[in-house]
Amino acid sequence: MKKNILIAIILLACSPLPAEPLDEAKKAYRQSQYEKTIEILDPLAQAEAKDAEIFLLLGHATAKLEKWPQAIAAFEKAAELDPASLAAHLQLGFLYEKTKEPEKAKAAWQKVLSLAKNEKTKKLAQKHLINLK
Amino acid sequence: MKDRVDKKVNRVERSALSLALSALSTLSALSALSSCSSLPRSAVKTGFDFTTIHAVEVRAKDSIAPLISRELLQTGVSPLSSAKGAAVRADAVLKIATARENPERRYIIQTAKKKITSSVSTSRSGEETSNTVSFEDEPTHAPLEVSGAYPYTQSFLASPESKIIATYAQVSLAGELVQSKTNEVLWAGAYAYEGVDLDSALEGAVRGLVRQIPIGANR
Repeated sequence: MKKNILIAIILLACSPLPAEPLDEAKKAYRQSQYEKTIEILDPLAQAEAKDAEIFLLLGHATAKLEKWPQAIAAFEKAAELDPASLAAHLQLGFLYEKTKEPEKAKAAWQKVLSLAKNEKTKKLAQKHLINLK
Repeated sequence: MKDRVDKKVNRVERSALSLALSALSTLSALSALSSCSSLPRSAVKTGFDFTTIHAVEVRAKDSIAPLISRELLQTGVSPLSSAKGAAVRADAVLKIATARENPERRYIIQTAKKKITSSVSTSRSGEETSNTVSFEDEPTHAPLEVSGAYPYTQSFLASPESKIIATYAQVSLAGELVQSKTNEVLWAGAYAYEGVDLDSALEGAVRGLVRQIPIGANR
């Protein structure tokens, strides 16, 4: 009996653990499977509505499929959950330019300018702010 | 048939490249003459009266010609499509070519290390002590730009320590404005812009480039 329990424990320890859904979604994104990424992330976004990283990845995947309003909604949610998220504001800047919302785009680039620590990123934000004038 | 198409594509690429190179070489040549040093990537022929430019013939690929015309109209200059007779009526010819298109660039940040902040607070009486430890992502590197052309992009993305900050397309344009009568280059410039896709990047690049030309309302 003890032997059987020991074998069961060893088998359990050796068996691969199911991957975390977010890791699965990242893997699907890396493999350019954007529909699959969204399929994995949608229920997560409902359940873990406080994790900005889920919404960031959801935003990237929906943007790849050119679903601009959904991508904006995801990045806006990410920015709401993590106001200091450079990634969310940067992508919102690009997306608002795409959807011809210059005032919102300017606000997003201003945010990038205030958050960026890297000169290259600051210059990128400044250039977009000048272009949108 | 495929050879013919390839040759045609090569010819188009060569002509775009030669225009880009010619614009850039003119740019460096004019830079010495230009008094307009606040525009880092454009130069003008000094002493030329740009108020004499009212109509401009647009020479560019079909995909960007309407965008250029729109920008010219917004500055109050009349665009003329490249057709027979346009050269006669135009005060100048504006040639714009795509110097570089990059459909996907990425900013990646690596966040391997955790910054550990520890704070100890003790009450006035000295009886209660609490120790708060917080973990916060600390960028081990500044955002690193990785273009889609890098062969090791996937290995960067595969790292659990890296996060994508942004993905975008980038377009670089080069152009020159040539006086119709004299063939003199009046202005030359280049401009790169980024967008969520190539169309968006192209629109911003055209806007940024045309605004550098000191004609119409841009003066």
